Amino acid sequence: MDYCAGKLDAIRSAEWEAHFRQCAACRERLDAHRAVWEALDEWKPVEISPDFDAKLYGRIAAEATQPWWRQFLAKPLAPALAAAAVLALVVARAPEMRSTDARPQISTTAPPGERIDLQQVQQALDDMDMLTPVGQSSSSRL
Amino acid sequence: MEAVAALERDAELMLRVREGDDTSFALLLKKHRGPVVNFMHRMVQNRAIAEELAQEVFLRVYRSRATYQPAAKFTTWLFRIAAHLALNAIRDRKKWNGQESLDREVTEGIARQMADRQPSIEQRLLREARAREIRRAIEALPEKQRAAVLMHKYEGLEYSQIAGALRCSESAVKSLLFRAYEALRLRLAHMA
Repeated sequence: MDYCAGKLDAIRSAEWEAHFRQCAACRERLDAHRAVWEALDEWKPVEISPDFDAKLYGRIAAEATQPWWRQFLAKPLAPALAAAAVLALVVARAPEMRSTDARPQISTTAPPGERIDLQQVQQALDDMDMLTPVGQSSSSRL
Repeated sequence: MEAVAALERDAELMLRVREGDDTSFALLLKKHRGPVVNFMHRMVQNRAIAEELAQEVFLRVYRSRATYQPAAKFTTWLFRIAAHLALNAIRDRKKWNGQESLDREVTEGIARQMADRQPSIEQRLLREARAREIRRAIEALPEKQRAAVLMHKYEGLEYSQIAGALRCSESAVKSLLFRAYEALRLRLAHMA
């Protein structure tokens, strides 16, 4: 892969070229990989809409004029903080749910305010992790 | 050496954005707009959706400016956001019909490329067929393999950068790329 991508230095390239001259199997593999590379080269970049930047700046400006609470929710950590608050609520109520005095009530729907959207929680955690600087774990920021 | 210096300039520009310099954001946008849009386009294969997602990438970069830390290369961070949004969009396919857009965009794309020449109908049909086949081969790859190949082949990212973008190890990236290129080789070998 590195040889086809031209990422090897001169010495290593020369070593591979010498090997390809002697090894038919590797040479065949190289030719096949080159064919893929050249086929992929046929996929040219697309033209970008002339109003791309204008639309982006419009979205930035629209966010800036939103109420403070909307801007807060748009921040990277806001969904994660909200999800953490929901989880904390669940954990705090866990002892009540485990009480032996009352038979557990099995319900297919959670009461309003306690419904947990696991997908939303996962999404919030993913968002937080996505915006964490690369090489730093998201947990170290909290 | 030159590449390293260029990457450090990106981090420097982003630090200026952090300090409130919107001109630096414009410079970053100008430099990385094309690669991000094209990465998105090759991932989702729908131009309108690709541009919308690419705008979302830069919107999130701008939104995060106050807390930006140059812990890694700027492009690694940028493509981490891009890959995340692209993978989510692919999983949420209900929002668009990819296949119809693919065929129309192949036709329009070839028409743009050949606009200044006088190709025969046969040449044009052949190019459209090849283009469609290449795009379908890419689309057939599992999402993470697709993202890895696009970052490696078209954006020239290093293994470490792809690993940072996809949140996996370098060895996992090499495995993804090996399997992806093998799948493409089997599918596109007859085009050589």
